[in-house]
This record gives sequence, structure tokens and C-alpha cells, in this order.
Amino acid sequence: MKVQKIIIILGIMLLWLGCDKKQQIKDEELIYIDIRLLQKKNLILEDSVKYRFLKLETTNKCLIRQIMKIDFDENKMFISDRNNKVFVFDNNGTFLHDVGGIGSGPDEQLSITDFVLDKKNKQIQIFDMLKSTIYMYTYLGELISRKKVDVNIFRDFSSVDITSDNQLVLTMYNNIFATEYNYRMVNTEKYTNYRNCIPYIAIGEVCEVYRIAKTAKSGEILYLSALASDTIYKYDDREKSILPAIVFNGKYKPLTKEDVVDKTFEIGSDVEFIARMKKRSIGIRELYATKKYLHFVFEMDAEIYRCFWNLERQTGSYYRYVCESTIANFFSYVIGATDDAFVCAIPAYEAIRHNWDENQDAKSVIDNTLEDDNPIIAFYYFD
Amino acid sequence: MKNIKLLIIQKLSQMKNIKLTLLGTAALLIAVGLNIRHALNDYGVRDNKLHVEVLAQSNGSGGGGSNSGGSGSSSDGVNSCPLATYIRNAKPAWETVRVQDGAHCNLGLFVVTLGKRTVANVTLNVNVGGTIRVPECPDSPGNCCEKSHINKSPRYL
Repeated sequence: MKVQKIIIILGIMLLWLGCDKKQQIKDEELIYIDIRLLQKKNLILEDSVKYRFLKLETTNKCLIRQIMKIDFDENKMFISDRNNKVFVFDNNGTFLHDVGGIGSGPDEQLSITDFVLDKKNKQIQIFDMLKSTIYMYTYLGELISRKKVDVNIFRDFSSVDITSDNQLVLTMYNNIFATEYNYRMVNTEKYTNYRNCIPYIAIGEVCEVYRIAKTAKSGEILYLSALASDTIYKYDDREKSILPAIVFNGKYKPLTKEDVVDKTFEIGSDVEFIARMKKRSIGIRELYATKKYLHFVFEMDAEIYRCFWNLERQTGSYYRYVCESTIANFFSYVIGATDDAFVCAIPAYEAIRHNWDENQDAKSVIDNTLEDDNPIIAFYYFD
Repeated sequence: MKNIKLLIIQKLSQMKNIKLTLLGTAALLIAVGLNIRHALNDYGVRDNKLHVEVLAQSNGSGGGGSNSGGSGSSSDGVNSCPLATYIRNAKPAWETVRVQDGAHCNLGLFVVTLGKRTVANVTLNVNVGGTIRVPECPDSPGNCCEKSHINKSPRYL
């Protein structure tokens, strides 16, 4: 009798284990963006989108080489520069102060890998990969604390995002010696618990670093993309996991594992060659989001298109880049977004070449600009 | 009469045992069969759509990547990498960037600029825009990146 009971219990347990609940994603939970239902427009921003140009103050204390990241809170702009600097400007472009600094002291950084704004606690967190340390600053640039973290967890990432429930999401390098995953989620209560998320469809022998925006925040919602994928993921704070949210159904079907099996790649993005050869999608890139719109880029018939998807109405349009000298062309310098505008950083030397006669507002900003000045920040407001 | 009753009860009990045994064995066989089928099917990798498949997330508590992979890397320390030829605590990598086309549309030849950094002149094989890869030596503790790596030509993807 005992043996029978054990057999029954074992059978039920095995049956239960055989069902992986995590694999069950209902199709109706996903939003599908069908390219056939999108409105095609000829010129990007042809619908007379409002825009505002802003000149960042240029002094010896705030010379910007290349903006790596821009974020906004409390009427301030937080900008990280390729030269390992984090600057704070007010929303008129006036330089306020910098945050952190490179040096060998205990409160200084060896490198600034990235920064995030913890908007709930009004903190700037600076990540120094070389010192395996996270520095917490106030918005005024005063150091609050620093946290030593595990070098094996906080390595080989190019950028960091923070979720609505304060989890960190690291965008990982693509390399067989780094990780095989697009993202790593780290629990900020312990900083030792982590979970690798979304495996790379192709992994390169040489390391690849992504400076193309793979993640975007729409209010509190963090959206994420993946290499050569047409799916946009979302961080779910109830499941504490990254789940598929939006699927782009373009002209081409996405790559499958079978398309890339037994193939080696120098870098992960070389998978795009396979995709083009097999008439598959190379995936969506350049995620940016306002509260209302999600922006991404896709390729079709050897041309590049931008899609603006209205998250509220679930409608959208797409635009082909047109070689005309218009204000709209400067959208190619998009680097971020506020709640209601996409933000571009136009290099000063590009801005001064353009003829602004037809736009007096922009002209008044750019007329006082020199070639070597800090970038012009352009806000493109939709609706 | 009493004996017959006892016999029937005994028989019924035996039948019940047989039924339970059969039920348990069947459940076990089904479970094992389904698990083997799932395993032979690469745990659903071939059947599931990509966006479902990628949910195969791994829970980790172990270490991250190894220290190897850098040209001239050394897990013992980066001090063995001569500063004349190597950047310490960095690894050779390629940075994927979007071509910032801006005002160079009509040239056919795109000057790729990243903010104030001019990266390269690249001839694009698509009409407009594109993605290129440029050599970089990003931070990576314990690795060394050969300086000559940065001089490699950018490539259009």
C-alpha cells in the first residue's frame, strides 16, 4: 500500500514538474504591431510637430565631448559624457554642477560606466565598473553613500536602468566570455541575487558593446528590446521578471534558433548578415519612449524606418528617412525622452550649418552658437 | 455465508489495490513520457515562438563571466600588460552605433559622428542611415586591450 501511494505521489509530482508555468504566455496578453495597419508617412514629423531648441551653457567646467545618456527630473537635466563626467543643467540649459569625479580617492571614481536616477529617493547612482562600486549622490551632487558590489555580477555591462520597484537592469556586453544574455537583473536589497534575462540569439567571439538604446522608460514602465528580435519586453513588477509585451509584425519574420545554429560570429550583430540573407527581420532597435509614444527603428527593403507607436490608442505610423534638409532630419540625433517629448542632441557644428531662416525660435538659439560649443538640445513634442 | 462475505471483501480489496497500482504506474509513465518528449524537443526551443522561448531565463547566484577574452589579458593582474601597448582594465570590443547622418545626406559618403567625435567615413550600402561597428576598449576589470585595436577600421553592419 505504501509503495502504491509513493508511486502515485511521485507520478503527480512529475506531472506537475513537467508543466513549466513560465513558458505559458497567452497570446492575448501581447500587443501586436502589424505593419499593414500602420500609417505610412513620407516625411518624418510631417504633422507639424512642436519643438523647442535649447542651448547648453558652455564653460570650461562643463565641456561635453559626447552625450552618452540624458535623463530628467525636478526641472533638471542629468547628462553623462563620454569623458567620464556627469553634469547637471537646469531646464534653461544653465550649468549647475557636476556629480562625482575621476580620481584615485575613496570617494572618487576610476570610471563612470553609467548613471541612473532613482527618482523616488531623489538620488543619482553612479556605477564604477573598475572599482565595483555604486556611488549614491543627492541631486545636488553630495555623496550620500557608496556600496561595494560583487565584481563578478557588476561587470561587462554598458548601461543600467532602474525599475519601478528599484531593481537594477544591466545591459550586458555580447561575448562568450561576458554573458550569453541581453540583460542582468540585480536585486538592490542584497546586490548579490541576480537573474540573467533574454538569451542572445547570437553570441560573438569578440566583445560587443551596445550604445544603441536597447531600453526605454515610459513613465514607470521599463521597455526592453533584444538583439535581432521583433519583440519588446516589459519589466513586470508583480512577477519581478522581464516579459514579452509588444510584438512587431513587420514584413519579415524574426530569426529562429535554426537560422543561426552551427554558425559562428565575430560579433553578435553579425547575425544581421544572416537575417538579410535569409530575408528575415534584423530586429527592432533604438527604443525611446514618452508616456504616450514608443519609438523604434526597423529595416525593410534595405531602408530604415522609424515607428511611433501610440501606447494609449494602440495605433501608429512609420516614416522613411528622407534626405531633405529639414528640422525633422535632426531627429536622427535622438538620445532620450522626457514624459512628453523626444530629446535630440545636435552637435553645435551641425546646427550652425543649417539655414534656420524659416524658424526664428530655433534661429535665435543657434545664432549665438559656436562650432565647438556644447550640443543643442532639441525637444520634439508629439500631439 | 460469513465466509463468502469475507471472500468478497478480500477480493474487492485486492481489486482496489490493483486499480491503485495501475493508476499510479500509468501516471508515472505519462509523466516520464511527457518529460522525455519535452527534453527531446529541446525544451520547446523549436516549437515556441522566439518571444516565448526567450523566457527561459536562468536564475543565477553564481559568478559572471571569466576574465579571459581580452587581447593580452591576465587573470592574475593587469600589471603585466605593458602600458605602451595595452590599455589596462579594458577589453577589445566593437561598439555598435547608429550612423548619425544629419547634413551629409547628399554626399553618398557618410561622415559618422558621435557627438563631437568623428569616427569614420563610411560608404553605406543602404539608401540612408544604418548601423556601424567601431572598435572600442570598454572597461573590463582584469583585462587588457591592445591599443592597436582602436585603430582598426569601422565596419558597416
